[in-house]
Amino acid sequence: MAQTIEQPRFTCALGSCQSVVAIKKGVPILHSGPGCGVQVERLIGQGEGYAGGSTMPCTNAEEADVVFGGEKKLRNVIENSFKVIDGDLYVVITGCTAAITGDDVAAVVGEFQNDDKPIVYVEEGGFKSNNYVSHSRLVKAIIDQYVDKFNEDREVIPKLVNVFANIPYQDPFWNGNLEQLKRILTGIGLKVNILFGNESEGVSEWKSIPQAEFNLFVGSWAGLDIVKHLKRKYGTPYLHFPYTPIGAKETSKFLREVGEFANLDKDEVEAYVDREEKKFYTHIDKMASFMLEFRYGIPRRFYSIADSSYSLGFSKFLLNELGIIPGIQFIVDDVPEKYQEGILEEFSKISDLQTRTVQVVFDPDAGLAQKKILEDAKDYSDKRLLILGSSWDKHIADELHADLLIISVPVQHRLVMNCGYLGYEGGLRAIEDIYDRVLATYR
Amino acid sequence: MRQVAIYGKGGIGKSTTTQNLTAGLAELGKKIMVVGCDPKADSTRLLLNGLAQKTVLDTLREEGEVDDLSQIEKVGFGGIRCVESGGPEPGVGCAGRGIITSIGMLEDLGAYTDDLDYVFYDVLGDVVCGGFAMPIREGKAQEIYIVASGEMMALYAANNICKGIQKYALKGGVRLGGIICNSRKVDREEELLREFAKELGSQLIYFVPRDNEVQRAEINKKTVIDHDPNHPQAKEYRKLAEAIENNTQFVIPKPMTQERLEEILVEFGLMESIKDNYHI
Amino acid sequence: MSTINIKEPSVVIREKRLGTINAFTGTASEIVEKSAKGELKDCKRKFSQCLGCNQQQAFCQLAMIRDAAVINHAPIGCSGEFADFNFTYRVEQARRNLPPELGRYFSTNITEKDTVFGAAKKLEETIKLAYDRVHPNAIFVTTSCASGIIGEDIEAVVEKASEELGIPVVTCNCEGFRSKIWTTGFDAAYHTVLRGIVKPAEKKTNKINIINFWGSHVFDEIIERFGYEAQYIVPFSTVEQLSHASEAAATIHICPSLSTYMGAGLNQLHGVPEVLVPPAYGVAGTDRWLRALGKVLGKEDIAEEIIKEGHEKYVPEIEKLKEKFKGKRAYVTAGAAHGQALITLLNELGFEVVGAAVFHHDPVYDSGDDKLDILGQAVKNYGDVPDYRVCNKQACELVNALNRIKPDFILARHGGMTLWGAKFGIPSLLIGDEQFGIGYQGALNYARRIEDTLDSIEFIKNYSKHASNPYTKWWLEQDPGYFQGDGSGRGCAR
Repeated sequence: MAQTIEQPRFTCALGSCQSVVAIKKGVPILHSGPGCGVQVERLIGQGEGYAGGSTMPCTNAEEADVVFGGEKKLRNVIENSFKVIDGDLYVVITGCTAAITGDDVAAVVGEFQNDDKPIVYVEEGGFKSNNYVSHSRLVKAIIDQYVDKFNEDREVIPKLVNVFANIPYQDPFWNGNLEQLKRILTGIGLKVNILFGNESEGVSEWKSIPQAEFNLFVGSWAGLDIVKHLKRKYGTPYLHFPYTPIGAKETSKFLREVGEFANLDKDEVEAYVDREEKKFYTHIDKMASFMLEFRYGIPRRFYSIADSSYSLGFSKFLLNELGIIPGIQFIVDDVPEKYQEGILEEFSKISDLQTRTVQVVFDPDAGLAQKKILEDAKDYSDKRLLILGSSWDKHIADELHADLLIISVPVQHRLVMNCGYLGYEGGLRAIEDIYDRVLATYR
Repeated sequence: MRQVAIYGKGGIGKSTTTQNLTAGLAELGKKIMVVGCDPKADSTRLLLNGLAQKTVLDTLREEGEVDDLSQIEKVGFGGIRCVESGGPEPGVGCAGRGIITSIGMLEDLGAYTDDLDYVFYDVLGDVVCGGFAMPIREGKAQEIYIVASGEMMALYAANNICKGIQKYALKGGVRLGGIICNSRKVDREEELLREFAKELGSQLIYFVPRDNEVQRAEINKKTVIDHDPNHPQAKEYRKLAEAIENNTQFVIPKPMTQERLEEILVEFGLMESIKDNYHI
Repeated sequence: MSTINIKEPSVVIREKRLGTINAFTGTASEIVEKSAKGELKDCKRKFSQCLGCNQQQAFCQLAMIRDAAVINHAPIGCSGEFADFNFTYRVEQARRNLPPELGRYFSTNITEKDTVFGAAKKLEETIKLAYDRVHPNAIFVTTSCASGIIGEDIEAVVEKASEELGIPVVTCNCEGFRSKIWTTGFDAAYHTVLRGIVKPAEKKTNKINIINFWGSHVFDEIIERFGYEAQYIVPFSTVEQLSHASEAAATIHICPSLSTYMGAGLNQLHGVPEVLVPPAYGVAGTDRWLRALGKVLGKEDIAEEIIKEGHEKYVPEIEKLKEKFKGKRAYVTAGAAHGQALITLLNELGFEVVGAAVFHHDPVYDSGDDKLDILGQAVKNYGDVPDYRVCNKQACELVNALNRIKPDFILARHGGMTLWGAKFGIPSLLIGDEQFGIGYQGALNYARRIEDTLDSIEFIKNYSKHASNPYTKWWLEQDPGYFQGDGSGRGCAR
């Protein structure tokens, strides 16, 4: 893992509590110090959700708990959480205090599991990893401790697919993106367990995970081990699409791949893809003049300080659908070494027509990334620049007179509700948002 | 698979006893893994004949990840698989957390294979925080043996450790299998230990006599069975191994009060002689 | 009175220093009485929800010192709030006509390896990196649960760095588990500033320290009338300016919960007198405040002038608005001192304050002077508050209390609480700017905003029909203090 980080764009392992908040009537229970829940919410929260933020039960470790252990307190908090908060699934996550002092959380939660309560635990400790990694651990824990127990049926339901994609809340557009994913996969004839967010049925979807015909992982690396785990456990095959598909070209590619993997009727898939592409390109057609001829300058080159899935997805989209050339891509989701080569390979394929080298830097120290962008931009002073980043990057965007599209946390300069950039509609939304910002700079 | 944890006062001879005992079990044809849970990382020296063992945590520190069991597991005497957790140097970091991390890693790497008959955890003497109780959590060691001698401090420590064991035993499956006496040639030592064990509700499972052969073997970086298999001390360790193998008495210990412990010590005349030659 | 000792690296936590508690069920007069007698006892809870930790409060005071950098010696999660404070910093820069700057905050990103082997070296390297990138005039190192439990010797690292770099590198010991009262974080930040930045006075100036968050500069004109200059600390000061805080003529508290330690520190260590009077909330409160300030500065006559003018200018309109509030039942939820100040204000505006849920209670402040006893004076002047609870920000207690009391209006002074008012369809108001309510203008400000809030009820009523409610029916039927103490339902400290 990395060294010093300036301008954090992700949070610690405890951040997986937000994944629980993203499940309908999910209740995270933190066994941690007092500030953890709020810290997570401040960076990746979007309001409290059902039982997130200040509503989350927490043992609020004090000095005494650290010295003498906090298991008794944990037991009280869990017991009373069931009484006070109406939830379908409760997940205990440990923070630094419990992890270092060695509280036996498994034993405490085990008492409640023996009583058939819908409760799961994940032993983390903030320092153990970051929330990209811990999200997978959380999902696996729910599957191993809850799904297995409450649904023993293993009969495969035809056309049912479990979708693992953007990480709730870490991706600020997670809800919108998952909505789009469900829409297009349903469109080609699949039954979708989207598992998180508004479009999910909640825990009933989770329970049917073992009965899926196949699993789908959409993203570069954070979550791949979930589908591998499910293959080992239930023998369910999986398809890995290595980035977030944005815009028509990539989404059609995505759907065709899924269609083939799932043995869907080719004609049906093509018909759907065709309809969506027509809608999409009608709009591109309308604005092609604008994009080619606008007198006062629109972006011609972009940098990104983002996670690998978005960086790849947006690079392909911006190049192929809008003609904006990728500059340095700073990938800040602390990608483990073993996945870096795969990502670089995808970058090398972003153009069908020529070999393009995209400069990629893997380093979560975003403060350094900003420094490098300011340096590099000096060579492109004749071009209007676009930056894909977070609210931290408003500073350099202002300095460079560049346009900023916020696609990563922290998000403070826009309000996100159901905006999603994935898929056909997502691609159109992205185009509107980018040029919205561009045009707003004119008096 | 039987998972066994060995506890006892620092310096009492846990590592020595564990290694010699497992050598005996190996001779009986058992497949064994020994996991050292002590930052000093000296739990497997005799089985590996002194090879500098790369600890789990050192490997983690230097390489960032441990991908393969072979990086940290070495095979020693009698095919015994040896792993050392390692940990920080004195005065720095958190050794307890180190144990938690390293045992977690062993699980992730699949070290606990089905063919194992025994897993032994040799745990740091002073169980000062939750991390050192990791080996006796649910799903790990089900039986514990405490190594003690007739010295007051060793018994005091053993009694104290029983408090911790009792806590885990009351809510899970772990039990005390017995006390192993590593003799210091104290007066009436065996009687004293028997009484002490009985008071705890347990048994003195074996009395290992003191013999310089143990030290000689150690200097040669070997267990006694390895160094001099026909020596009478080797027979002692074989008998200890058998006692463990055949043990059926597993109890929830009943730790005693300080007063009761001192009563027992007085009963066996130890307190009298302490006046003249008391040393820990 | 507590003794400020800056030789110790860590500040004494509030529970110990002031006897601060975070759980209480009873009336306002009960808590005032118990505080005066020193009988206030805290108690535990059998169920709790996320709080805030003192690391965050410490950070908020150190994060906007303009030429300093802050290093959070912690896993990456503890820096979740960096971005929020950066946002505030930049917005407030613009309001002060300062050029846009990023907040320079670093995390040492403590990982599992570091918890096992120690992270002192990493901290050393981060200090050097921060210095090279930012060239600050001071570096502050905040601590975390993780760094605290493994027992890192951070003092040694920062002392060495200080020597090598020639700038103050100072620790701020504020581990989350250190104190149950998160406002200890403010004390920790001020302790750091007093230890490492404030220098002994070389002379005395005509500046008046105003210890605040980052609110509007409402004191400028008034202070000028007295012939002095307002100096707002600690946010937006430079290291140099802060080092001269000892030279001021007086210190004003906008909120004693915030600044008790700093005020007392500047007084005890550097002889800067504190203006010991409850903050200027409401007309009567403002009169009292101005008189106290006049006395400290030896300019009582100017105080009387300002009072006369203020009454003439503001009181008529305030009186008109008071008509609209007659008979309305109000509920307050806020931090301790501020909450009490708001109770005073609401009382004066004619509301019946039927309940309050404050986050903690300081029975006394570091100055040891009961002149700062805001609640005591509120009770004396306006009567008791029948349901005064110290709820420690526990949402479940607040929700329960609101459900029972169903006030006509909720005034909040801490984020996250108005939500619950809205969910019940109760008009709720939160004003972010801490200085908004100060003085005669402040009383009018609040009166106007409250009028607006009471008028605009369509959104709230509509929303409350569709709002989610995670609490069980069982909970809403229990006493709000159910989980305090032994969990038998009787609450504690009755």
